[in-house]
Amino acid sequence: MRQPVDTNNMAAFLEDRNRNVIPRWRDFRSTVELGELNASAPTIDHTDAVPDLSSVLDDWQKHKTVSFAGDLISAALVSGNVMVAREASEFVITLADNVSPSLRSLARRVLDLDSTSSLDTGGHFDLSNINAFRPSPEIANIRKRLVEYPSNAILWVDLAYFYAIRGSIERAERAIRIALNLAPANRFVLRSAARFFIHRDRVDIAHDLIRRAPGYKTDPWLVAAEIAVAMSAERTPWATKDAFALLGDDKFATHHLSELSSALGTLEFRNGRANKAKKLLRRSLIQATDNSLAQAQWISLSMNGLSTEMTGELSQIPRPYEANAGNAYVKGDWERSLQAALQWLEDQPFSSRPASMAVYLAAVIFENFSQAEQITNFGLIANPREHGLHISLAYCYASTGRFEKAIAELAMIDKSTADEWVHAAVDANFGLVAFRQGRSDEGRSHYAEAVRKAGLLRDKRTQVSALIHWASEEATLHNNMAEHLLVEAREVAKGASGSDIPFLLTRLAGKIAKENK
Amino acid sequence: MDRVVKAIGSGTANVDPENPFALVPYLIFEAADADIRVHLDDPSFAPSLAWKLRAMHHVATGIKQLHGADIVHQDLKPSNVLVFYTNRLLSISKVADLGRAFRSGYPSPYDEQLWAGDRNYAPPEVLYSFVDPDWAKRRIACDLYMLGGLLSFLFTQTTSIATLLHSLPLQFWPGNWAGTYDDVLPYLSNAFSVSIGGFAEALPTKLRQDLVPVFDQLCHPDPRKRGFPGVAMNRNALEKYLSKFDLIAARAAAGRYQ
Repeated sequence: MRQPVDTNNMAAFLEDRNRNVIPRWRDFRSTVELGELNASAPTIDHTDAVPDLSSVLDDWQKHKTVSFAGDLISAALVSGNVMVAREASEFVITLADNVSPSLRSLARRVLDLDSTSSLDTGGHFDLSNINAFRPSPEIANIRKRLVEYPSNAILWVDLAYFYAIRGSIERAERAIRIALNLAPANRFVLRSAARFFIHRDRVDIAHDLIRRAPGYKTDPWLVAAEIAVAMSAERTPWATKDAFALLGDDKFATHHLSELSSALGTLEFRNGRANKAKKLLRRSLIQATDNSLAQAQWISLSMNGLSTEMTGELSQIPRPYEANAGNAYVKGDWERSLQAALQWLEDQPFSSRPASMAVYLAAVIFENFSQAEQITNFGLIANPREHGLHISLAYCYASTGRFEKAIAELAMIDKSTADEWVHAAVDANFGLVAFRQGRSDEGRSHYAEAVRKAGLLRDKRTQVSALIHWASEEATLHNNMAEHLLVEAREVAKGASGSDIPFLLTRLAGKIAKENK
Repeated sequence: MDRVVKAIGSGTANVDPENPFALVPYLIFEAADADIRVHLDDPSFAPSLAWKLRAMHHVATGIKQLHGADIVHQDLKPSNVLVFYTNRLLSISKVADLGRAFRSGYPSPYDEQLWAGDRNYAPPEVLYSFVDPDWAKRRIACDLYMLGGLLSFLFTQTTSIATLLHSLPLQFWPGNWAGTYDDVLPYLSNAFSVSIGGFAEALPTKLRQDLVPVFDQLCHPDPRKRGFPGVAMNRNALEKYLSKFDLIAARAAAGRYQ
C-alpha cells in the first residue's frame, strides 16, 4: 500500500514498505492480561500432593480470631482452595482497618471483590491528561517501589515505558539497560527493550540484544521478534530455520505461534513468495494477537485472498485498534478510522504512527484543527524530532491564521536529516502560509516547487496532495487556476493510491463549484 | 536448645486392651501455654511491638540451635511456635514439631521428598520444584524463608508465600508455569516487591528501615540470594539475624520506634 501522506500534513502513518510485526510495548499488567507472557509450552504439575488444610481449618473453627483467619486465608490461597476460607475472609472484612492491609487484600481476593481487567484500554483517552511538565503519578509510584526493591527488572521496564511516553528518552534508556542487566533472557524485558530501541532509532541495538539473548531460539515470541526486528534493520534474520522448526513443533499452543507465523509470512512476502506468505499469514490469524492482525491487514492491501474482516474469531482479539483504523481508512469510514486511531494511540502512546494517522484524519479529512493540534502536541511529547508531526502542527497553525507560529514550526525542521518527502512538505506548507497572507505568487511558487520535488521522487500521492491543496487555495481567489489544477490532480491521481484521494478530489471539486457561483 | 520445645518423655501405649499388638509410640513434650496465634489474639495481652520482635529473636535462636546440630526444621509455621509464660509480663517462644526435620547423617522417612514440610508455607522454589544440588544450601534457605514467613505473620497475619502469590499474575503460578525457575524469577521478584510494600505498610514508620531489609533478605524469591549479604548458606546463616532481632527488640522495648 502507498503511504497516505499529504503534502501539507505529511502523515507517515502507514509505513509503506517497512511494517513488521515488531513487538508491542505495553505496561507489564496489560502485557500479562493479553497473554503474551504465558508459558509457551504445556504446563508442568509441580505438586506431588494435595495440600492439607484440615488442621488450619479446624483451628479457625475453634478460635475464630484474626490470626487464625489469616493463617487459614494464607494457606487456602497458596493451596488454590479459597472456598474454605470464605467465612474467615468475611470475618476479616468486618474488622475493617483493624487488620493489616495485606490481610484485607487477601480476604478481598478470596471473596472476589477486586476483579478488574485491562484487556481493553477503556476508550476514554484524554490527550490533555498527559503533560510532559506535569508530575507523573505512575513514575512516582514506580520510583518509590524501586527504592525499596531495586532489583525488579519488570518495574524498570515499566519505568522506561512511562518515561518514553513523556519523552524522557535518556532516562528511559537507562531504565531499560538496568532491566536488561537484571533479566537479560526474560521475554517481557527483551521484547520491550527491542521496541524501545526501535523507538530510539537504534534498530541495530534492538536486533543485537535479541539475537544475543541466551536461549531465545526456543521461545516463539522472541524468535518472532528477532525476525521482525532483523527485517526492520535490513539484516538477514538469524533464526529463520529455528522459526520453521518451532512452527512445525506441536508443543506450543496456537496463540504463541501467531506472531512467529506473521513474521515468517512477512519474510516470505518480502521475498516474493506470495503463496507461502499467504499460508503463513492465514495461520497467524488463528488465535491472533492484535499485532499479527494489523500485520495481515497491512499486507492484505497488496495481496488478494487474505481477509482481515473483523468477523468470527478475529472480532474477539483484544485491542485490535491498528487493524480497525486501517480497515476503516481503506473503506473511507473516516469516523471509525479516527476513533480507532485514537484508541491505538492510547494503547501505544509513545509511538508516532498512531499519532500521525489520527492527526492526518483530524486535520485533512475532518479539518478539525483544534483536535489535530492537540493530538500533534501529544505525539510530539514522545517524538519531539518527528518531522511529520512538526509539519502537521505547522499545517494546523497556518490553517487557523497563526502564520508566525507556522513558520517557526517549519524552521525547527532539520532538513539535512529529513527524508526527501519532508522537503516537498515544507515547501507546500510555506505555500499555504503565503496564500493565506495574500502573497499568492509566492504561494504558487512554493506549491509548484513541492509538486516538482514530489514528481522527481515519483511520488504520485504526494504530488496529487500538493495539487489538491494548491487548487483549494486558488479556488478562494476565484480564478481559473483551480480548475486547471483539479484536472492535473485527477490525472496524477490515476497513479496514486489511498482511499482518501477520491474523497479529497470530490471535496475540492465541490469547493471550486461553490466559489465559482 | 532452650528455644526448642523439649521432649520430656517417650514410650508406647496400648490403645486397644483387646489387642496386645495395638501399640502406639508417643512423645511427651513440655507443656506450652499457647501457640503463637492464640497469644497474638489474646485480648488481655495485646502483644507489643517489642514482644513480637523478641519472639522473632527466640524463634531465630531456636532454628539456629537446630542448625548448630545439623538439623533443619523445614516446617516452621505459626502453629509450630509455642509460647511459654514465665509470668504475665514475660514469655518465651519456642520452636516445636520436628516431625518433618532433617538431620544430616540420620535417615528419615522424608529424605527422598523434595519437600517434607507443609506446602502451604513452603518457599517459592519448592512450589516450582527448583532444587539446589547442595542439600545444605537448599534446606537452610528453606528455613530462612519460613522464618521470614513467620516475621510476615507476626505483623500482617499473612504468610510471605501467600502475599507473594497474591501479587503474582495467575499465568506465573506454579501450576501454570512450564518454564524454568530462572525464567519465572523476574515475575516473582516483581510480585515480591509488592509484598514487601504490604509488609512495610504494617510496620510503624520508624521500624521500617530496620525490619524491611530483614524481610527482604529472608524471603527473597531467589534462594541463591537469600540470607544476610555476604554470609554463606551454612549452619551459621542465622548468626547475623540473632543480633539484628536482639537489637531491634531492645530498641522497641526502649520505645525507639514509637
